[in-house]
Amino acid sequence: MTIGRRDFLKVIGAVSGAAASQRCSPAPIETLIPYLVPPENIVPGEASFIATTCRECPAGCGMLAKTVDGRVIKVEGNPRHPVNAGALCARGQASIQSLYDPDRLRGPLTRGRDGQLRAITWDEGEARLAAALRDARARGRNRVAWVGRLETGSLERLVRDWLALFDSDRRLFFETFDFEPLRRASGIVVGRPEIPRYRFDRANFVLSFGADFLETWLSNVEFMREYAALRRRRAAGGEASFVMAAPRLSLTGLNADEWMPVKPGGETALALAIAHAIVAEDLLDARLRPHLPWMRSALASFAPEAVQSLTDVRPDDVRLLARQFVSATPSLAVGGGASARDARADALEIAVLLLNAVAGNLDRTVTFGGASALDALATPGDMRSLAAAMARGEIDVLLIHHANPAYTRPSGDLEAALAHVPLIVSFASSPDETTAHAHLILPDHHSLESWGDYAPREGVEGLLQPAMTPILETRATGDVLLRVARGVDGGPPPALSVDSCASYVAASWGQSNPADEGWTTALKSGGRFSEADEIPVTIRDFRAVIPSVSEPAVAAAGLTLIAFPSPFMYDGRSANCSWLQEIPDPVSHTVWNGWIEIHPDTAHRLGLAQDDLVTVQTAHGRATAAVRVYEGVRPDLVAMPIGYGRTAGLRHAENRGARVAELLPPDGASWRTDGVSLSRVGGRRLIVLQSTTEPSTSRPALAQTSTASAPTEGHEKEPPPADLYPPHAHLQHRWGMAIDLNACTGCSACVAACYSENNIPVVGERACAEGREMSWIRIERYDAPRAQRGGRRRFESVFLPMLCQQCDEAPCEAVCPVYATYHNPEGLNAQVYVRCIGTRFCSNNCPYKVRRFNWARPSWPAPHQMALNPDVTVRSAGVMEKCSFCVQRIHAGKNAAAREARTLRDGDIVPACAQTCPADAIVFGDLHDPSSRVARLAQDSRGYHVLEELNTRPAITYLKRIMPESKG
Amino acid sequence: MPGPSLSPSFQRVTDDVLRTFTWTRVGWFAYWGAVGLCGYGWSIAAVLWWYQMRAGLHVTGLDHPVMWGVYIASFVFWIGIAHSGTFISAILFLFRATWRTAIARAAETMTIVALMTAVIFPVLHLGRAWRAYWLIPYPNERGLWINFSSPLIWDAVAIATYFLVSVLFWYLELVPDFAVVRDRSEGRQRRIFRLLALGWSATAGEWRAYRKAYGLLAAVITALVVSVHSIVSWDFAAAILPGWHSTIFAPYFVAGAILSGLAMVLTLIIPARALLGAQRYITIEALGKVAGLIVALSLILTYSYVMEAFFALRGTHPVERDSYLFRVAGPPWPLFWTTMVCVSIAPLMFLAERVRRSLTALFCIGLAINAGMWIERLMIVTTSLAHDFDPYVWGVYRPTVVELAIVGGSGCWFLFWFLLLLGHIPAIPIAETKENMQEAERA
Repeated sequence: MTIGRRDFLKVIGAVSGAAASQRCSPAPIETLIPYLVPPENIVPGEASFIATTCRECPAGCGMLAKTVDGRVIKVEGNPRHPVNAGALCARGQASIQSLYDPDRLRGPLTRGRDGQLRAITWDEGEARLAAALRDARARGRNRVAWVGRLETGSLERLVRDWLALFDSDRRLFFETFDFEPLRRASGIVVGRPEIPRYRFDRANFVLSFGADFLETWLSNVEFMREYAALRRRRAAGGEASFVMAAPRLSLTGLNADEWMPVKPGGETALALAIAHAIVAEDLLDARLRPHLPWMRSALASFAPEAVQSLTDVRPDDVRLLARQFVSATPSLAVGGGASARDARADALEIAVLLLNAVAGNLDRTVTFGGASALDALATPGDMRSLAAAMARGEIDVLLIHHANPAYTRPSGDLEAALAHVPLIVSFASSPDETTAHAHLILPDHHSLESWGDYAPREGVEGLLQPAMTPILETRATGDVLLRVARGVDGGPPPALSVDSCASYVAASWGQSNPADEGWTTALKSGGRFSEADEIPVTIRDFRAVIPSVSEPAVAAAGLTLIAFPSPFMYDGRSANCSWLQEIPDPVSHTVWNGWIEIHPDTAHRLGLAQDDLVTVQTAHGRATAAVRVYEGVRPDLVAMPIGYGRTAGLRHAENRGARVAELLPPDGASWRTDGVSLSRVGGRRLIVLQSTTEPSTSRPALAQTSTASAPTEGHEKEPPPADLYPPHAHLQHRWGMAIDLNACTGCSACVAACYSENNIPVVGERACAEGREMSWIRIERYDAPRAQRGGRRRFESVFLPMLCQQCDEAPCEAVCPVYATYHNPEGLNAQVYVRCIGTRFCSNNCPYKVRRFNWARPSWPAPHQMALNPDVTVRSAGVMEKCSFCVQRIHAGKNAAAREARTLRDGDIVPACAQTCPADAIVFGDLHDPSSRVARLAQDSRGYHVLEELNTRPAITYLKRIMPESKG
Repeated sequence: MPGPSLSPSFQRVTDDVLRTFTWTRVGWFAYWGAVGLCGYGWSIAAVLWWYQMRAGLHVTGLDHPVMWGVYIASFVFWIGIAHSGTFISAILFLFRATWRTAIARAAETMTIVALMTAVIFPVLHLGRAWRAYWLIPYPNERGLWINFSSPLIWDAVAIATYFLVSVLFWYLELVPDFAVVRDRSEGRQRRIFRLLALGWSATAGEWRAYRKAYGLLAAVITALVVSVHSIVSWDFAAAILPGWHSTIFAPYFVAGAILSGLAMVLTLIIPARALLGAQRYITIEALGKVAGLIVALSLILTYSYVMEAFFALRGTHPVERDSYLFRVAGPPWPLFWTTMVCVSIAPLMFLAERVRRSLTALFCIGLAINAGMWIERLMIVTTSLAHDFDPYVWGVYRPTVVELAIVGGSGCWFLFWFLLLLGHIPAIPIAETKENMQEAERA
């Protein structure tokens, strides 16, 4: 047989045509690019931004998903959203990693008799669920239970109506950190059982009893912005202070001016003692005069002397603090956080609210009226009664939706009770400790692939819309619920007769009414935003509930364990985000591992050293963890982060530290326990400290501080030294940056944003231990412990974001033999990856050590490669890289201006770090434009350059942190 | 062509020197065994280099901030070794120190081989070694050029020049000797040496031209001895790093280079002398004179160390001071103090006549100086990087097995070529030895 040329081509054509017509995926592909904006706006290769809402925590920040060619490549804060105003925290930035999580569940699974999970089809899964629900309904009322993450709006209604269909109202919105004590305290003190709004920006004096409001407490991004406003007032010469009363210095505490290391459990007594001092000295708010008599008697037993044994705070300090608190009106007291959470947490919140009342802060810095979504959360008591019901066999079907109680709650009742539930259905999108108990797993889309809505507080309704088509065989839980409802005998009720979750959401946002433009507006702006009216409140007579504070039962020999939420892991849900594992914890500087913190004195007393593996033994359990010696904890304390010790088979989270819930009382309402003992196991586990700081007084300070009255103290500008060569002429632009150390809280959101924007590879634990992490920006922290004054301690911490300084006289440029780094006409130290041969001389000669070398070929576990920014080169092994001031964004900004035939405006170009900074501490712009923000800040009296004496002439101006005036 | 009539002792010189061309059985095995062993050693290192290129530099102990380590230290070390050959040949020639004749050939061969070893390291340590040719300024369609303000380019130019001139100098002196070999050999060897001898016929005119060229090259190369290591030192001194950025570096490095080179001469020549049976020509007196020079150079280095300490500790720059204290009393203190013992203290033993006349002592102290000089380079390169301006990125450096094996392999590479070359040329300058004998007779 001979094959002619034409025959050959025919065969090839037929074969490739047939191959091309095969569908690779059984899923119906609707559109290659999700056309959520009119198609004419989508240009391949051009980014479009889709407004949605971040669901990494209940704060509900607005988010813009940057999509290119149908794939989300970056998320940023939605500037129109009132909660976060354009910023995101590190966890929000990393939410893209949970979307592209390599360990995500790829489709529905069922557990066979052998206990192994096997894949099934969606039809099979839904049929099984429907059958079980039918049986449960037949057996009686409330035999179906729902435990899910906090939902509001559409999905909240959908779940409620759907459960009603199966004759159940057992619906618990479970979040690890609930704020029930806040709600109850408000009910008692002002008669409105809701979580108040705290206005840090209005306060002149903030007093926190353990509330980590810059990390995980309520709404960290919002509070960070407000707190930065407070600090800016100080820089302008105004009054603004922040005192932290907590047994451990968290990141929030490190931002405080003073630290009161109060005894664990003594926060309530301290708050009442301050209230006592205010009342005793007759300093209380005029409006509260009528309440004076009962307060006096109710607080009588809380004289600062009387409670000193509980609080470990000197009475003089309490009185001084009381005077400061009332004189700096409006002030603000906040309390709570995980470490203050115990059985008496209500008492603390009542005391804090009382303190706010006597200082006249109600309706000023503590306002009511906008109900928080968190008000709807299940309490630990609700969870306990559900567990009891399960144990009694009253639950036939347990539905778990993005909640992981088996990990976050202490072992005990719940885990045992799960064994009594015939069918546990999980809608988790990634495997977790709770799916390990599930019989049926029907994975939900990621929130970036879903329709939905979330209103963190009244008036702020955020919309969730899919930013891309789902990449896996997942199905929206709302769709699953609607499909199951459709199969119910007698058909679904009218409220559930909708074909898809998307239409359900759209209908509830008024899409069906063409006259109503709310829907299209919401699609564009990410929701409907208004502010609920503030409702003035009056304090009640609550003397009856003024708590009786008893001596905490601390065993003399034992230590107290407090669990604290990690700012990156939250409650453990972000543990599989490799960026969050690799970015050093802002407090402990550790990466890729959990730890326990003990005071140096305690370590010395117990003969323990850093990295030693110890067993932590409590009355409730034991766990093994490595020691991190930290001066910011009380000597009678063991502090342990929440979020480590995951065991669900997640590649980045596995085998890192221990699960703190194993050590805690089983009621699930307490993050603290007494009578803890430590014993050395033998052996060490290296806790990788990304860097350490050794305070050295002889060296020039890189992170400089000043006081408001003397911002330029000790810093006289010398005339620049003479140079051999003329300075660079930057004809058009000279890009520059100003970083306000006074505003920076060290939250590291900028670091996560940089990872996302610039395709920075993650290198893993071992390479981090070898000093080979690749981050282009790092948050340095310099602590200068000041002399202790009584029980009040100054712990002067300054956070210094360090990135390429884009020097005008760059030491790196001169030494590169091949011009791989050179000075570009706009003042950037450009790094040309393809030209680099890797002599690494540039890094050696960089005094800031901000250059990073690719020691190995970077890799991204599939499907994470989809998140790569197509505008940024993926670097190969053997080349140097560093911060480029997001040169791709500079080009994009210039191109956009050129297309619109206009000149660049200040603010057109925003690098990723500046974009996400919740404190707005980073400002970027053109130093040649005298009206630009950055040019003005560069002239600020607080401005200085790091290592100015080297005459590198950096383009980054740092603004000194303003420390409180030292009195006496 | 009949050779000129030789006096019996001249005849003997030729016989003695050329004995290496007719090995004894044991000598043959010892020689080729050593060459083979060295070849095996550097082959392993070559494989490791290939592995390093494939895997990336994470197989080394280099990290952030210590991005240069044993490779660069070895580069500086081998460049240093390359200095003594020239020093002995050219500078001592100009000073008419006739004792240098016997060891000049070995020392010059060492220079060339050490340069061949040194140039491997800057390439080997590159992130993308396969792009090393980008360091060469060649016209290309992309309009790319090299950066002449980079000290690395100065290095490349200086070393290339030095290598070229050293080879010329070495070869020039060999020409009359090649002619001797040509005249006394037959067959293939004769054909090869006829080519190498470039038709040398030892006429008075040729000798006159030879002497003139030799003197001229000696003068040129003397300047190069000073310039090359000065330029290498500027790799460091031109950087702004505390501990590198120092004006003392050029003389300090040159002195260190000559010291290490002289020590290497002792280390190599003492065994070679026994192997070649050249005790008669390479006398203990000559070796003792090398030892004397070592003392002088060691004292120069000690002075540099003292000055370095003085300026770091008495100066006003706190970072410089911190960096120095880190080097002396910080975790890398063993490097510093080993250097002090090996480089500043051990050579002082040569002040004793008895030590200078003991072959064992000469050999051992020479070895100690070599080790000390390598460690000194490692200390300079790594400790400054580990502890500079920003305390937040201070680091440590621990070389890995791969790095150390490659460094060890470079030693094998050096010995391999050294043995191979020295075994196939007259190991002692025949012509010059005879000239010296004549001069001595005349005197």
